[in-house]
Amino acid sequence: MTAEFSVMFDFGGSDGSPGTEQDISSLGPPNLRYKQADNATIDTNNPVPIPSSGTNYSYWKQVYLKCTTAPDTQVDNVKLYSDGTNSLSTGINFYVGDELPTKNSGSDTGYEICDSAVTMVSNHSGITAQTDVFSYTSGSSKTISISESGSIIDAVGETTNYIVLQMSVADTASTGDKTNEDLTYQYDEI
Amino acid sequence: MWKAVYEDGTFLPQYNEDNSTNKYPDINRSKLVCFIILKDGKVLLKMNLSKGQRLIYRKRIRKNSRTGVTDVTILVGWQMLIKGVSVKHIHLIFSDGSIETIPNWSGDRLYSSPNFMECEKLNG
Repeated sequence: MTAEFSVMFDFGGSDGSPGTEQDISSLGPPNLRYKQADNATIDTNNPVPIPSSGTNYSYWKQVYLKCTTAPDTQVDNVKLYSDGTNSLSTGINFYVGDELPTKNSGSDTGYEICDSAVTMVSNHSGITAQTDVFSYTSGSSKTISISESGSIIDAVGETTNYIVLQMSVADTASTGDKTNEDLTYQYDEI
Repeated sequence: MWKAVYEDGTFLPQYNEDNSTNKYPDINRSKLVCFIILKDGKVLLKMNLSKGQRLIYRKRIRKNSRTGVTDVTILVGWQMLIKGVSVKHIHLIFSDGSIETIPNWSGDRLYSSPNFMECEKLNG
């Protein structure tokens, strides 16, 4: 059987206990909207305001792959990358946390509720640094770890660890809805 | 799907006639002489193996987070030690049916090394 995965977004609830696990494939497009609110609603509410100076942030989003159809043997070697080009416009950046907080079929310990528009670095207890998403390309992708048994996914409901994503808006940005950006997930299946 | 052919002429298909599945780790590598990739009943690639050549096989899937569109590339090859040096031979079968052979893993998304299973690792 060929494995199938959903891209999921956890939000709400409390630290270590997300209130909602949202399959983003049923949303949008776009499937995720970065805003100053912790929800999965695709609308124009709660935009990230352009600051007069400094930087404003979207609420961070904690996403992961979840197995919906099990592979014959296993899935591993999960990667994430972009097209390498920031088309969001001047002053807007898109970051991914360097660390991958724990998420698996038996644990949500890496989940930290986002209740304010602050940088994920050091405000999310599992994130100490971040990297521009667009620096991850097909030739230099981000490795996404798995904390399921054996560091593989081989059953329905098993997941990768959390990928924490966030946008920032500088005073050089312009108003308006921005171009959608795609991310690609890659994995090896047997 | 794949089909593992043994030196005595028997074979292990990925899917049996009753639609039950044989798993990749079930392949008896001590008797393996040929590994075949089939699509719609036709042979896409037939790779013969010599003693000491360790079979490598993966489906490498790329999924667009927005569109959900999925692309599958099949990696099939072997690696072995020759005078202490790891030698590799890898075929990539793309979704359009074209095949590319590469002599070694590289950092590019489709050409990067998989995480080897124990049965694929070279002995020292």
